[in-house]
Amino acid sequence: MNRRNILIGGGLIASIVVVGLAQSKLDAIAATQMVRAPKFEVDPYWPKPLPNNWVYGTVIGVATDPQDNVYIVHRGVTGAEAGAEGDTPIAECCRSAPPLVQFDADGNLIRAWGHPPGPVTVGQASFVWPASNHGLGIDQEGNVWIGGNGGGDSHVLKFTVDGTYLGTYGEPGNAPNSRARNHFSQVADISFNFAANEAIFADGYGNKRVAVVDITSRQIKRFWGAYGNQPIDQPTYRGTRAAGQTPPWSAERFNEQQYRNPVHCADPSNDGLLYVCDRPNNRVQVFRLDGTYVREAYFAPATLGDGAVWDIGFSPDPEQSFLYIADGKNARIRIVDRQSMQEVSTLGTGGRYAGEFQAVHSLTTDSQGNIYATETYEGRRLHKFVYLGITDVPRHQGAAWPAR
Amino acid sequence: MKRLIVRGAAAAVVAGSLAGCGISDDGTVPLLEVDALWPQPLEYPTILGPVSGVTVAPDRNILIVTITSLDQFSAANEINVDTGTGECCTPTEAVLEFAPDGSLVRQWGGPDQGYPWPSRPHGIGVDPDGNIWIGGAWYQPAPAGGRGGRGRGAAADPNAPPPTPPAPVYDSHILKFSRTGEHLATIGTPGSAPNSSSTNSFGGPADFSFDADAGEVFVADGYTNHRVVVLDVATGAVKRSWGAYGNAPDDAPQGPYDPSAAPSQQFRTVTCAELSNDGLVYVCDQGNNRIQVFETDGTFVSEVVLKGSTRGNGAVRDIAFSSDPDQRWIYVTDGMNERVHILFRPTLTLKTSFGIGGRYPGNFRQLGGVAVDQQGNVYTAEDGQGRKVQKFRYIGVGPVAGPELGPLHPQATGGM
Repeated sequence: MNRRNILIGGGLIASIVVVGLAQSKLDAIAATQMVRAPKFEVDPYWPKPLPNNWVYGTVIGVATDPQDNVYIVHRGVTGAEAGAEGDTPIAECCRSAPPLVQFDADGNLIRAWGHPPGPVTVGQASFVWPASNHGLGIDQEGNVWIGGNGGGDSHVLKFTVDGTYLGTYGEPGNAPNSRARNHFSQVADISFNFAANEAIFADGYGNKRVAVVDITSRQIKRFWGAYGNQPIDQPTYRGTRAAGQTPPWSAERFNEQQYRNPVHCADPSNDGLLYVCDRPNNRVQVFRLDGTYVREAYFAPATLGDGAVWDIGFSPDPEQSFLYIADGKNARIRIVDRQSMQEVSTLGTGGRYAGEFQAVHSLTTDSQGNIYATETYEGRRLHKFVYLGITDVPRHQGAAWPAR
Repeated sequence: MKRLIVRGAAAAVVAGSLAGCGISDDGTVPLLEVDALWPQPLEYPTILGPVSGVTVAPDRNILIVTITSLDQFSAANEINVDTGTGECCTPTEAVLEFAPDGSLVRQWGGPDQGYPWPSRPHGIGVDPDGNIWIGGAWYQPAPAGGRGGRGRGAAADPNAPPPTPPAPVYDSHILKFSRTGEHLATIGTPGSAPNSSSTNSFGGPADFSFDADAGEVFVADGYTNHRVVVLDVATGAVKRSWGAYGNAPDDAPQGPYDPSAAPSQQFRTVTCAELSNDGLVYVCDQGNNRIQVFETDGTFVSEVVLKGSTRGNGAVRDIAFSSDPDQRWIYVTDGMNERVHILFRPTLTLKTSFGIGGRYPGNFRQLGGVAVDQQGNVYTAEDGQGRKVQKFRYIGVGPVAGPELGPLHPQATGGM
């Protein structure tokens, strides 16, 4: 707190210079320092090329199944990039791949499916496809769950692996209400507590809560806000901090008693804790699965706008010793010691090449410990980082290219 | 540039039959594979902007020009250092020079450095003296409050009057620098409206090639003018110019491209003018999906239409010649169909295409410039949101594997 106040509040110019010099020296040392952490190498040729002049739009959800197949949900492309679409195409390339795309572990395309936004009728089934795709979960039966962050996306859809409609959780068409028991608001991500037959929703872009749902009855069992508080939909807590905003927001930056939107992930560890992404507050909050608050940790706390904590995965060792945090604003995956909640290494860097991110958005792992990470905005890719074990790694692993 | 064939002889051949020049089409093409690990990653938190030009210097170093102004980074979530919102990222300098191994040799250039940097720099060439030429694409700024704003979260005032349309910005000049970025000359008057008859301005000058023997530079002029213009390399003086088919250029509005209309007697957008080593100038008429070939004096020789039903920006954005002495093949970048087309040069026959749309290695997004090094490796530049320079390794010559070669993943990866 003290150092933050000095840096942000101004203080003596001389002390800033001294601090700055010391920090750059520390950074220089840190850059060459090796630390013990999971090591990764990007596979630049994964996945295999898509057929049909298909391209991805913003890739805003990823999940793996027990067979290590990889699933993404994306939003498609528009305008000149969709030059091959429409009644009068202007070019042979490109067209949007269907929203749900599935690959095997080798990167081969298995299948792709999905629907346009709005009411859909397929045979006997009627449902509402999200206005804006967002968030993906695969349950223990291999079913596909899809959230959404567009207007009126106050529900979650469930399908079989090949796209047969199974059900809707919540009701579409509702405005935010963080205490509602019959709907959600723009669910950002979906995970599961299979032992309890529960689905866990990061709820979301509209609401300010984690919501736990019984998979069978589709009823909301419990929900909670930051620190386990009752969520409040006060506008004070809405929105993101814009560039150039200085105090007074800094005074309330820590210990903010409500989530800022979006609540962007809620991922359970194998020891019964739930890790929640409070994205624009740059923090992870940790709970027991019953909603009891345990602790929190901040990352890149000076980050404004979209925030630094976008999605979370776990290392493959039995203790899940490390967390992986997708930081879309700062173009890195943060590798964090789960006990201390201290960052030990980072993976990725800014840019458009293999292992580089424009806005790393969603992240998951497979049974081999590989990381799959997606990019939104103009990044629009699914990356595979191959897990090489826990060993000595650089403080910043960067693009993690393989040796030639 | 080497001139292996005497110009007069080549012209005579052209006047007769191209097939008579001794180069027959044996069905082969250059074989390439993408190098996903080139160039080497930039230092965090710097990133490339849109790459609007690429060239290879005589020493095999690769130079690119990129767009660095903050208002051109339409993803305001990307230059968070500059907006004060995050730790990454910030643009590089505008011109980057890479060694053949992909390491960054130097970077320089950009706005507010004492010379009239273009609104949208475009095209880069190395002249026979080793100096760097940079053009610019005319740019209309986005309306205030539209996409491209710097910050997020600032709510638009619903009662505010509609934004005044911004004044057009004309990139009507060419900049000349030393290899290390010292400003040497500004050729043409910045801010001039399009005029294909002008001797003191250009209209979105897009690309350059050089005739060392004649001391001339061929300028693709351009995005708003409708001509090839030839300058004296040393003085920048206009020596001659011509339009499509060698006609006098005309700046009259042409309306949208119509694939079924008769061939336009004017260029639509002139985005390349590449001199072959047998003395022919290959001109990209991007908006008309065609290459027109001329003698260096502007005499029309031949043309070819590629992907003629393409609309939007058009299918012929830039070309480069293969590195063999005969320059048997032409690489044509097509940023609408997101392909590089390979043509057999004597007959301008389309042999095959590589690349697909997308953001991965061997994929293209807004494919623009292309260059070939002395060993036959191909470098492509992606403008807009592609923002990469990619290397395709030359691995020999062989039969055409099909009409579409895909992203040319190395064989070892099992890719297509």
